[in-house]
Amino acid sequence: MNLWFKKLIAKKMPGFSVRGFELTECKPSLNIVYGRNAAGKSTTAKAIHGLLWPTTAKESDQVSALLELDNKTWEADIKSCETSFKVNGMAEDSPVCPSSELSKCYYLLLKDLAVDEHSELASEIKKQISGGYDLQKISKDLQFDDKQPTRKINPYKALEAAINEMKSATKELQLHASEESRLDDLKKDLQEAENAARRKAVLDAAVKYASNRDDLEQKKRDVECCNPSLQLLKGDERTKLNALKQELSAQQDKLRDAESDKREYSDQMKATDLPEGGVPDTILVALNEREKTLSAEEINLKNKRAELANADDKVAKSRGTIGASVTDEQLNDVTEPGNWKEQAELARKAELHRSQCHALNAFRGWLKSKRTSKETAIPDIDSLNEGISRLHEWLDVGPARPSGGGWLVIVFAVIATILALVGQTLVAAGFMAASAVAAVVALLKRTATSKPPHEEYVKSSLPQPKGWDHQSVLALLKDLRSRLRSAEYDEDIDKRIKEDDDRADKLTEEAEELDRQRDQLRDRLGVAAGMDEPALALLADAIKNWRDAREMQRKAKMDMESAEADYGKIITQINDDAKPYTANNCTDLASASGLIKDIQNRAARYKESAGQILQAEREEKNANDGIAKCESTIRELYNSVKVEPDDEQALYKLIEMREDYLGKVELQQEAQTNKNTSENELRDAAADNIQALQGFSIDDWIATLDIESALEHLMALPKSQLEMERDDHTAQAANRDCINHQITEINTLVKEDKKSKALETALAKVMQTRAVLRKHRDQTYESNVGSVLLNYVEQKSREDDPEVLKHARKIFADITDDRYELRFSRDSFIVRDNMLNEDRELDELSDGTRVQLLLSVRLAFVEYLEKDGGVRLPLLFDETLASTDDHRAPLIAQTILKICKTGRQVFYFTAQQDEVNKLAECAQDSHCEAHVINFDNVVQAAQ
Amino acid sequence: MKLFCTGDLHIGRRSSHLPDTEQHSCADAWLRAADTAIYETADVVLLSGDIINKDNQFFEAAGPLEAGIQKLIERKIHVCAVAGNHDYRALTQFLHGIQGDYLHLLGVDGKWDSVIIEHGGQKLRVVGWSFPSEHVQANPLESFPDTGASDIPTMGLVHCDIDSSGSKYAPVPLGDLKSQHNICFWLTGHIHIPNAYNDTHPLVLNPGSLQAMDPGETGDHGPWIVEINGGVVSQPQQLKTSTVKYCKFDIDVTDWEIDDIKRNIIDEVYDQSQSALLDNDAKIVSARVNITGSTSLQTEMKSQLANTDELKGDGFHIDQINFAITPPIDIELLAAGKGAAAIAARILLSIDAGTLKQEHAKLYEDAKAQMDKAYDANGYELILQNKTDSSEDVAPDEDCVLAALKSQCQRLIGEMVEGSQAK
Repeated sequence: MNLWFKKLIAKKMPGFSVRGFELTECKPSLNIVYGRNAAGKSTTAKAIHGLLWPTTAKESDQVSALLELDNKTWEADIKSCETSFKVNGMAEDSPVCPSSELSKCYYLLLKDLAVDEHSELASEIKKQISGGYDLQKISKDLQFDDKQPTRKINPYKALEAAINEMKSATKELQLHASEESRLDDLKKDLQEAENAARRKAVLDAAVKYASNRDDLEQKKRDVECCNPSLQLLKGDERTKLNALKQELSAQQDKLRDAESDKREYSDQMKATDLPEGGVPDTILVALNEREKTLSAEEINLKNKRAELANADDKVAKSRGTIGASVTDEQLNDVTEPGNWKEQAELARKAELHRSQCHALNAFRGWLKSKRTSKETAIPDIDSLNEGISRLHEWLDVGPARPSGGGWLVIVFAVIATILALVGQTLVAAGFMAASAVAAVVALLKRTATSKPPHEEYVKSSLPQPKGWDHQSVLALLKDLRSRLRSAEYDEDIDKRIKEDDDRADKLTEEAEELDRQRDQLRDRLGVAAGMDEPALALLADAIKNWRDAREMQRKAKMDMESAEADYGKIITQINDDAKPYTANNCTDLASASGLIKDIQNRAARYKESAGQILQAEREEKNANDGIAKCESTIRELYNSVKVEPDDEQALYKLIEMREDYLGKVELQQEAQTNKNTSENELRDAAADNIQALQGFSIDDWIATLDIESALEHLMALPKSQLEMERDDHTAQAANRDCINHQITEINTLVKEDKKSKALETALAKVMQTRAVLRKHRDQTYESNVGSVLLNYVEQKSREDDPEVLKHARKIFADITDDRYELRFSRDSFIVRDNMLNEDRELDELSDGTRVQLLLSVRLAFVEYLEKDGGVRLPLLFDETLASTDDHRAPLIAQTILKICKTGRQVFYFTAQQDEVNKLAECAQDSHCEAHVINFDNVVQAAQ
Repeated sequence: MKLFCTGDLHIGRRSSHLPDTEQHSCADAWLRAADTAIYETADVVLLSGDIINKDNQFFEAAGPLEAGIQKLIERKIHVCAVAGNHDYRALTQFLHGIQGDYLHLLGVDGKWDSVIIEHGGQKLRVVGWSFPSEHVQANPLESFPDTGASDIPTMGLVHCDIDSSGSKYAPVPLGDLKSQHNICFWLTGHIHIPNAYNDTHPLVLNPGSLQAMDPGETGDHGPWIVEINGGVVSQPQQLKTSTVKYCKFDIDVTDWEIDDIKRNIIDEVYDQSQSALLDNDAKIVSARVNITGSTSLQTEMKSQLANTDELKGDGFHIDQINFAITPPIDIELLAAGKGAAAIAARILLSIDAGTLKQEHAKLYEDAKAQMDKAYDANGYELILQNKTDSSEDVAPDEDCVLAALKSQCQRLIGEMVEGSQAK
């Protein structure tokens, strides 16, 4: 049964999510869907597929269609990958279609048919007849393989390396364990070696003992051979003798020195030229004291002399001050020059008086010079004032106006102020007074009868104005004022002068007093008149000073003479004291000091000499005693060793022999000490190594003896025997260090192993690499099994191959109009060219024939799928003619049309107009219906 | 009396299938266990065999063993031990050097013997049996001595293979252990997965390995605390001290996008790991991930997840990813069709139905032969040379072949379907 699409409504497809499209006039034969690229042609193909095979659709696809099958119209809808079918509104099961993975068989693309001459056409055919599965590619993609790994794979090598490492670690641990097992034996050997070492230690001590023992015997013999007298010597005789001789010599030297000193000091004593006994200490002390006193006296004398000189100098100076005008006689006659203070006061008063007089006179003279008028008489001030006031009145009243005179007050006041400012206070005061007067006058005038003022004025003796006009009156007024001022000024001056007259009188009285006092002083001093008071005061003072200086001089002289007397007295005393001891005399301090010093020195020398002589005598005595003692000791020494006294040679000889003897004795003692020491060492060694002794080999019976007896026996053995035994044990003991070292090494290895994780690590590595290798093996299992499976599937699918190929042969023949026949056997294909009657290999076929063959095979498989009750479904071609040449294209077109002729619907999608034309042309030639659907119009209509 | 129970220490070995195994040493686990026993104030430490791993029966293992025991002895904690199939020789040798009254190696040379331990006024008799050789095919309980009734509580200590008749490692039926009525408590060893058979008296405790060592040893691992007071045995409490925990996670990738596959896998494994690590001393989870679900992206997913080293995260390590993905197609429908895919679908259905060997005998035979060939390949001979008892080292059996066929069939179908859909 053929199923064909009558109508397709794509409601929602990729690219058409808002508005779908509809293919409304599909035909059961060839439908050429023509539209530009990306218009949605492939989407249409997917929509058709989705309806038939919902699992290939997207979840969002919504497509409906009207199908024709078995003369029934089916409604098909797909939504959410589920297709529902209805027939006449009743739900129906979906038509029987091949499984969805074979849906691709119904959709042919250009590349499915683009098998070039180099491709494996046979493989492609096989692929087609197996449903389009490229099993080789699948095998490759899934890594199916029947290969077995070799030892060269990396996991193998890694495991091998890990195993080797593990073995190495194990071997090492085994070795260490094996070594450790030797430890017990080594410890036994060590014990044996230590025992041998201990026995050797005992034998060493025994050998040493024997050696010392023999040596001692020899030394004893040497001593016995010597002279027995040598025993009497103590050994220090030579030293003693030498010491005694030295001592004797020293004492003799001392004696000589003492005698010499004695003589020398005796001479010294004589040289002091002092009486027997020297100078008593009392005398020396006295002399000393006198010298001190003399020294003090000299200083005193000097001072006195200085004082006298000073006084003389003062007298001279004061005399100089007085001056030559006053004779010495006069000076001498002056009994009382007076008090300087009083005189100075007189002088001051006199001077002051003079100054005052001078000042007064000068002032009076100045005042007089200031008078404005040289005449002694002063103009009448009252008249002037009267006159002035009258004039003012006249001015105030005018000719008929009573003079006021008030303005005068103001004028006078202003003038007074100005004068005061310029310092003319007196004059200013005058003007103020005038102002006051004017004021009074004015006041009086106001109350006075009103007589014409000029009449009154005319009566006065004052100057008259030139005329009784304002101007003349003013001029006169001015003049009168000036006169008034002058008058008042002169009046003041005169007043002052009068005041000073009193003062002058007073000064005159003072002058008289001063004169009187001056005369008195003059008389006292006996000087001529003409000296003024200061000069007199000075003179008096000078005279006083002179008199004081004279007095001082006198005193100083007296003191000096007294000091000289004392001085002389002491000198005398000193000379007296020194007389017994010196022939010299002193006259002054220097000579006295020299004298006393000389006496002191000689006295000291005398004393010293006496002491030295005493000392020398003592030493002399000691030396004699010492000499006697030495000689006695020397005699004893000779006696003690029974040598004739003073036979020094014999003594020395004996001493020499003694040294040798003592050497031998010492050696003997040393040998004895060594023997004792080595005996103790032997005992100690035996005690320390008593256990070792139990294994002793020397004379079997030593082992049975107690330690003391064994030692006794050992100590009696000859040295050679002991040495031999010792050498044997030395060799055995030498191994001890080596064995110890081995034990230490093994213990160290064991200790390190206990801390190590080398084998654990290696084992873990082995496990890890083994796991990797196992994983590799699992992958090999999968790969191998996959390969087996694929081969099996391929083989199984080939079982249907003959049927499909037979059908393909039929279709191929139909398509090629029986020109070609496909022949096959197992995996090989050939094509029989019936026209040329030749067999061709697949690669000898033309491109067009190859395409026809592939199409035939594809179609054969499709029909094979539909064989058992399956529905014949539409085929979809997508631009299959594109890029084909002019020879191949028509063949493909014809093939497509022949398919249509079998009743199968075909959709051909193309964007190429020439493909449309080709197909249309072929369709026309083949008398086959070809319906062209302009997809752009479909889309446009949908919009 | 407080008993600290553990066994299968396998000192000398480390946990495997981890990026860094140094931190997961069994020796270190033992030393930590000794410290834990001291911390828990245990009176007796019981070691049920396989204390030392047979591959490391040297001083390297002896060192930590001695150090741990010395710590316990110095604190007057009794240590009772029996040897297992790994250390039947080494344990005797190494413990011989440790002196003291607090160390008891029981049952040497396969002869049951006992020791009475006194502590704090209480007594406990421990009866033990040690492996005399690597393999023991007889049931050691057949020679179990008659302890008789006694006032002193008695417990048994034996390394054996419980309920595994035919085993070479002292097979003992659980019933035999349970039937010893004079024994109040059994501590066994050998099986690394812990199990406490405490439904009936006496309690039989298989403590499992102290440190989880390979992906087969899933679950929590660590020592157990059991208290015996006057013959009454408490519930055993496990201390989860293993530094690693092996887990198997299933992740359904249906509807997952390929771009997020790595991130999602990491997130999913992380979440499941965190849950696994709750109340646990483990520092890391070693995960075997089983990817399930239905998706057409199997090939891409497998490609993206090919290198598990790239799937890193905090607190976990992905050891292996197994893909059990089905393509999102109706297999039955596909099987009804024609073509290679249909054939593959039919094979898949027959595998699921268990009829492959009948319907596609040649396929099965060829697949088995090929797997055997791979098993014997030169490139894998080192695995055979150092075979362990692990199931990973045995030749592929029927289940293995069928599983491989199924997974490859699913891949093939998925690839075919993807290829057709890509068109």
